[in-house]
Amino acid sequence: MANRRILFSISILSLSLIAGYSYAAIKSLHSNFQTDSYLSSAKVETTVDEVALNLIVNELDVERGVQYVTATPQLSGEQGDSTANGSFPKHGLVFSFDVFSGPTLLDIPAGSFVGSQSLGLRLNGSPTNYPFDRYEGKIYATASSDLTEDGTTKLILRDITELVPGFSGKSQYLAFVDEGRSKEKILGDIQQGMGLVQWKFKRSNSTIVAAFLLGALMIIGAAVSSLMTLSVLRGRRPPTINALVWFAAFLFALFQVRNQLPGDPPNGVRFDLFVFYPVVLLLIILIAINVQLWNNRDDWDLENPKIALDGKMAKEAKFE
Amino acid sequence: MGILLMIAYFTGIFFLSPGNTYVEEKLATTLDCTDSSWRDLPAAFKSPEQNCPTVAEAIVDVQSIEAGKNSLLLANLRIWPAGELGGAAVTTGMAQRSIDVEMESLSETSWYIAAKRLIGGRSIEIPLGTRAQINNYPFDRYQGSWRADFAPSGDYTPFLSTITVSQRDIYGWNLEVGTTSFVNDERYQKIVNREGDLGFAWKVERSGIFRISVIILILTMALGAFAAIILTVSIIRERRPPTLNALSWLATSLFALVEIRSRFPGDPPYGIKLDTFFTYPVIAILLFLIIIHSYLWVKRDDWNMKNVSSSQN
Repeated sequence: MANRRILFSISILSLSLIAGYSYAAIKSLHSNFQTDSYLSSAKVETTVDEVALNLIVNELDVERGVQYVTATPQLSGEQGDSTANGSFPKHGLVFSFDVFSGPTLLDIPAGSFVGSQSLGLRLNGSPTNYPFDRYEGKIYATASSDLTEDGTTKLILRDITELVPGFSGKSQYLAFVDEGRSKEKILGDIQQGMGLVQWKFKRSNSTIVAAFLLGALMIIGAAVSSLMTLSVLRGRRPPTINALVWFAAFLFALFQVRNQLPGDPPNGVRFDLFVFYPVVLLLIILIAINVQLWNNRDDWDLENPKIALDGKMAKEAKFE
Repeated sequence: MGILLMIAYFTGIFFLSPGNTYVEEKLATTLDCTDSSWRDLPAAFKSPEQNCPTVAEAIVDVQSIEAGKNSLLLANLRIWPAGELGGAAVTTGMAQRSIDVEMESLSETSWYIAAKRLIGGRSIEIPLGTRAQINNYPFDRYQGSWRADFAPSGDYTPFLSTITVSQRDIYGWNLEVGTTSFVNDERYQKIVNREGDLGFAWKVERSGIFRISVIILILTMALGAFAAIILTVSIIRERRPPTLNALSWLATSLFALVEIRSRFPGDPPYGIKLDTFFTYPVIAILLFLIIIHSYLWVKRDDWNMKNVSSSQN
C-alpha cells in the first residue's frame, strides 16, 4: 500500500514537472526579441531618399558591461543603393555614433562602398541575480548628407535583431531631448537626422529553465546524499566504500555542472552563494561523516544477509 | 562541527561581498554645473551661456582585472565635455573644440578628439605593477596608478580637466580607487587641473566571497587527502581489508582533485604557493597511498574480504 502511494506521488510529481517543462519550452519558442513599431515597421523604399542604420545586437558581455552591436548603413532613392552587407552612397555621408568603443565617426565619400560597423555600447546591470539579471544599453547616432544644402537628412534606425543567444529583450526608440516616448519628439529626431535607441535584456526562458534544472540537480543530489548518510547514521545501512565512491563522483560532477550553467555567470553570483557553495560544503561534511563511520563501525561494507524477491524479503542467507 | 561550518559559511556570506568597488567621493561624483563652489572659478573657465565651467571630464569605467597570465586592469575611458568644450550626449558627448589626449595604456596611448563630433571612448590596459603577487593567490594584492593629459588642439580655449571613476563592482575583486595629486590641482565640487593632468590610484585584492570559494575548494582537497590517510591507516593496521573498491575511491579522489585545481576561480597559473604547499603535496600523498594500497591488495590474504554479520555465521 505504502509503495503504491509513493509510486502515485512520484507519478504526479513527474507529470507536473513534464507539464511545467513543456509550458516553458513552448513559451521559449516565441520570439525572444521584440522591437517597437518605429524600429520594426520601417521598410526600405527605393523611391524615397532615405538614410537608415540597420542595428543588430550580437553579444552581451555582462562581466565587462559591454553590448556589442553591428550598425549597417542602408540607403535608398537619391541617397544611394543598399547592398547585402552595406550600401553604396551617391552623395557624401557622415554618421556619428555615441559609443563606448569602436568608431564614433563614419565619413563616407560619394561613390565608395561602406560596410557594417562594430560598435560597443555601455551595458548597465549586474549578473548578481543570475538567472534573473537584467541589463540596459543605449545608442545615439546622427547622420548628415551632402544631398541637401545644410546637410540635414532623415535618419531612420531599424533594429533587425532576431536573437541574442541566452537573452530575451526588447528595443524602443526614445526622444533624444528627454529620453521619453513622445511620438512627436521621436519623429522630430528622425527628421533632424538623429536617433536614440534603448535595449532592455533579461535571461531567456530556456536559460532560466536550464539554470533551474542544474540548480535542482545540485539540491536533489545534496538531499539524496543527506538521506544516505542519515540512513547510515541510524544504522539502517552500513557505511561502505561504494557510498564514498558515490560521494566523490558526485562532488566531481558538481563542478562540471556549475561550469555548464548557460551564460557563464561569474563566480560569486547569488546562485553560487545559496546553491553551489552550500551543496559543496554539505558534501564535504557528509564525506567526513561517512569516512568516520566506515572507520569506526563494525558493520563496514556489511553484506545484506537478506535475499529479496520483488522488493520483499524472501529469506535470510545462512553461511555454512 | 558540520552545523558550525554551515553557520560560519552563511554568516560569512552575509557580511562579505562578491565584489566591491570603493571610489573616493571627489572621484565618484560626476561634474555638477550647478554646484555653488564653481562661483569662485576664474571667468576664463566659465561659460555663461551654458552656466557651466569649461571642463573636459574623463569618465573611467573599470571593466575587469586579469591577474595571472595577463596581469592587466582593463578599463574604458570616455570624455564628457562641458561649457565651451561641448555638451554631454548619451554615453559620451559632442565636442565643440578639438582635444588631444595622451594616456597611459599598453595599447593606444594617443587619442585625437575632433571638434563638432561625438567623442566615443577608448579601451585602456593598465599593467598590474606587482605581477609576482599572483604567487600569494588568493591573498594577492595589486596597486598602481594611471594618468592622462588633456591638451587643447586647434582653436585654443582654456579648459580644466577632471576625472570621474564609475563605482561599478567587479566580480571577485575589492577595488579601492583614490585621487592622485598634480601641481596646479584646484578643489571645487571636483578636483580640477588647469594643465590638463588627471589620474587615479588604485589598490585591489580578492573579495571575501572569492576567498571563501577558494577555501571551500581547499577544504575539499584537504578532506580527500585526510579521508584517504584514515582509510589506508585502517588497512595497514589490519582493521579493514585492502579492496578494489577502496582503490577505485582513491583513484576517483585523485581525479577529482586535479579537476578541482583546474576549476580554481580566477584561473591562477600552476606553480603558485598554493600549489607548492598544498596541491602538489596532496597529489603526492594520494599517489603514495595508492601505491601502498595496491601493494597491500597484492600481498595480503584478506584482499576484498567481506564483512559478515553474526546472523550469517
